[in-house]
Amino acid sequence: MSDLIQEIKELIIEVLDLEDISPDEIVATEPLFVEGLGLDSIDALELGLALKNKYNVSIDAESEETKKHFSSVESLAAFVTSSR
Amino acid sequence: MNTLGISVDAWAAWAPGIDSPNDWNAWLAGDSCLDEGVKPNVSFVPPMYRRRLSLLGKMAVLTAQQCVDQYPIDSSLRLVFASRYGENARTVGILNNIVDDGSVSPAAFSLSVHNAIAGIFSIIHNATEPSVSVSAGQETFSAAWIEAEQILWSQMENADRVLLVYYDEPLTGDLTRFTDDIQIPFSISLMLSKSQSNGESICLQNKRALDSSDSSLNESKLNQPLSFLRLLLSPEQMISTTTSNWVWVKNSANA
Repeated sequence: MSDLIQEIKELIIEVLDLEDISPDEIVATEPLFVEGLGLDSIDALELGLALKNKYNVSIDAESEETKKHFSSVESLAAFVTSSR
Repeated sequence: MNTLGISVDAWAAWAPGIDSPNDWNAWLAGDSCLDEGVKPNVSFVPPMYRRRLSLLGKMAVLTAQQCVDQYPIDSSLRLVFASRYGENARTVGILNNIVDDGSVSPAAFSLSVHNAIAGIFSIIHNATEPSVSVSAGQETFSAAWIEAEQILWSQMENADRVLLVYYDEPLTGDLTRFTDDIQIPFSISLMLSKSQSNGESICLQNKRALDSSDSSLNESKLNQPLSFLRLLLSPEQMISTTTSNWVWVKNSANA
């Protein structure tokens, strides 16, 4: 799980052009969007596409569950694990 | 002749390795001082927005910033952004992705639209003043100038100044076959206002409206914005390009 968390952090930095941020600065339990890292809706779409390509997970943009999955790195890792 | 004169109150121009009037004079004289390794320093842009700017966007925001440093943004300013090719590298990347695997990057798509850089600039400055983004082929710069002119002289706009931001970079990928003008990455920003009766101004005219005996007209082989830069830097009184009928004419204090 911690390997996956590290991998997702690196994916976030890579696909969202966060060159100035290191993986250690992303706290796995903190919010990714608006608060915390401060990502926005375009980032959510970009990250969704990257997760789909890398882990072959299917993401329903309309679902309330998806919002929960995207709330933190930890919840994303749990989502990826349960979908594999 | 009744012409609408515009005063250039401040300007800034940047290309890799060329960022002062002296550098530009040397480049215009034929020195190849272009250094593609030099990147525009936009450290004043917050990191979360900086990551959204390509080289093109960074060049545009840099020269625009150098103008608003001298004339801060207020409610009487309007913004005119102009680029012939816009974010052509992003667009080519999106098209190649569609061909390769059918996926489109949402971020690349949102940032490839023609007013994306105008949007980021206004977000950085929390500027709610109207802005437009212009593209009109080889005549993009004159189209932007006309846009600025109508904003400044329109009673309804209530605008004292227009910031004109021009930016382009070379065509990439399969688009390079359409190349028909000089290909360097560069940006020029102008802070414009309505000319005052006692000040210097520049007006845009049609070649056909000029006195045909006037032999001082230089037809530059450069594109419009770089020709205009040459006019700004030189004692020349007017300049045009070989590919357009528009002429920029300097007026020293109105007689």
